[in-house]
Amino acid sequence: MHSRAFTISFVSGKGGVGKTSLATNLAWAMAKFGKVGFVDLDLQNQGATGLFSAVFPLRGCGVLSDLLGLSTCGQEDTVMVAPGLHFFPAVAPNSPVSYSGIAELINRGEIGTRLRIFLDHLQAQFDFDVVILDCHGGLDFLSLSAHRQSDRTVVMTEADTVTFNGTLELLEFYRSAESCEQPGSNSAETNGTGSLDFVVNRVPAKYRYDDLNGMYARLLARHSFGASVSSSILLYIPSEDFFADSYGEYPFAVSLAPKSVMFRKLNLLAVKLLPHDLVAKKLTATPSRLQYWTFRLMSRFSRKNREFMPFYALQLPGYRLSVEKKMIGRGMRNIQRIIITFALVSTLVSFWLIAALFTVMGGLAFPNFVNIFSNGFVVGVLALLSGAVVLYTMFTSTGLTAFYADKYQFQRRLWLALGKPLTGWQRLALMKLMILRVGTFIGPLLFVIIGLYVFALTFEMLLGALR
Amino acid sequence: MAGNRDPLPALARDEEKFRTRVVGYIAATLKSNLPPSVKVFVLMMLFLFVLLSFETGVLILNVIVSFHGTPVSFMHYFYVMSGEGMLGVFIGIPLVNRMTSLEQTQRLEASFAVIEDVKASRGRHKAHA
Repeated sequence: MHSRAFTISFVSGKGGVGKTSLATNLAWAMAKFGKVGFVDLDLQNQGATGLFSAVFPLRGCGVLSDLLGLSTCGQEDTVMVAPGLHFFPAVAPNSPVSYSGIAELINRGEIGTRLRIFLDHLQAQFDFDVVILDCHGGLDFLSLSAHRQSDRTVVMTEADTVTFNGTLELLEFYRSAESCEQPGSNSAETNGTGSLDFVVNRVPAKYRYDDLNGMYARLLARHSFGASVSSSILLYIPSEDFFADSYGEYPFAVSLAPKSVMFRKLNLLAVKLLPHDLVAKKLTATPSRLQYWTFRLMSRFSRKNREFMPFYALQLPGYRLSVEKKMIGRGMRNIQRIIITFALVSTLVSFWLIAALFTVMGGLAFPNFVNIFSNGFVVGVLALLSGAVVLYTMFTSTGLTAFYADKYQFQRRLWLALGKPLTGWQRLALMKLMILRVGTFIGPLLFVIIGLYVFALTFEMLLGALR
Repeated sequence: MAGNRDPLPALARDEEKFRTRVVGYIAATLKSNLPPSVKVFVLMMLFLFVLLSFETGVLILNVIVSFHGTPVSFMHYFYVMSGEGMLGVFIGIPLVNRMTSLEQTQRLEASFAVIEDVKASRGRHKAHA
């Protein structure tokens, strides 16, 4: 008899909050720790099935027919979408879909028992360490059953009133379903501990961690949802524009941007959600600095160490806290950097202009007052020009280069990951990004060099005049 | 006595008044019930006020010195101004971000509270029905 897999389900009160995207990428991250099964339980929308079928040749009977009792999934029915990660589509790729079957199933009373049988069967067949259930966004009995079968249930939400409304409805639905049933009547249906955690997705950059977390802490304290509901938010995930741009193109998009905040947040979520013994098998809890640096050094030589490096770094409490508190994605940070440097430089240059103007005026008004500064006009103009050039280029190059470097790297990785040869247009697009990336770095660098040269000339002139 | 034209005591009094006033502002800000970010903002404004008065002095000095055409004044002026620009960017922008975030979170919380109230009243209706 196989032991039960650790089951995590993703639910939400409203659709389109990013359950499927997050669950898919999380499954990819968790597959490094053990054997993971990813089940598309969204029978209405079948989002994950659509996402995977665009990239992987799916086969099998589908979760629907299994739940309806028409067939049972076997080893040959699944497809391994990443090392250690098995995917179970909602509906078989080439089989007819019974819409009345779906409608009947999701509202049927015994759906919980059917789901449990299905999960037990999966476990007997595959012996998973972790099973992830991607549910439908909204109020239905299938997602309620999934929540009851799970050890951890992640409620996806967003920091806005529209999603908040749906989330409250969902919690009320779960609470009323619990209170309606007699105690002990459905003990066979409830397998998991049923703890509820909240993940706030796509947090706008305008909110800071402390403010938002304080607000949610007060909110959760106000409501008594029950002992199983977490009293704080499990994780805040900022919106990351590269992720939105490539939505639906590739299932594991986050894995292609290892520098992004999203990637770190996802790894943190994996470490937080996984059972401790599974994490402890691979990683030391709270490593010392020496252990950390040894691991880091070894990651240069060992592929396994390299794979676990992002997770290992998260075991350091300080780094973990900094990742936890990050509310701005990498794309947004690049844009902010460009704006800030532009503001800074334009301010500095205008001051420089005023200062140089005074010098020029001084030189013009009193040409013979102090003999050596009769060329004050020239000095002022040169200083103005060179200073402006040096400052402007020094500051603007960094944010812009990072912006285009990120865009180029992600786009290239994404198109290569899709496994098809690049078309001419794709090559052209990549070339454009490459030119912008290199150009925003080399161009300003040349300007800086020229600016410094002009500066040197100015000072030489000044020194000559002083002598 | 009407003939007392010595300006020094008056100046000293003014200075004393000014100093106590500034200290008073700081103390009042720190003791007040304002949220911490607003306190920081008020203190920053006070600091900026002092800085601006200093800067005015530098500006006048710069005008006088620059008519002599010395580039030293030009560099000096630039350093002062760029220092302020740096302060503005590295202290001012995060400060403003902090304040606006607090304000927007409070607004979000208020709108959440409205939704909760609506739901609660609906629950009461259900209970009555």
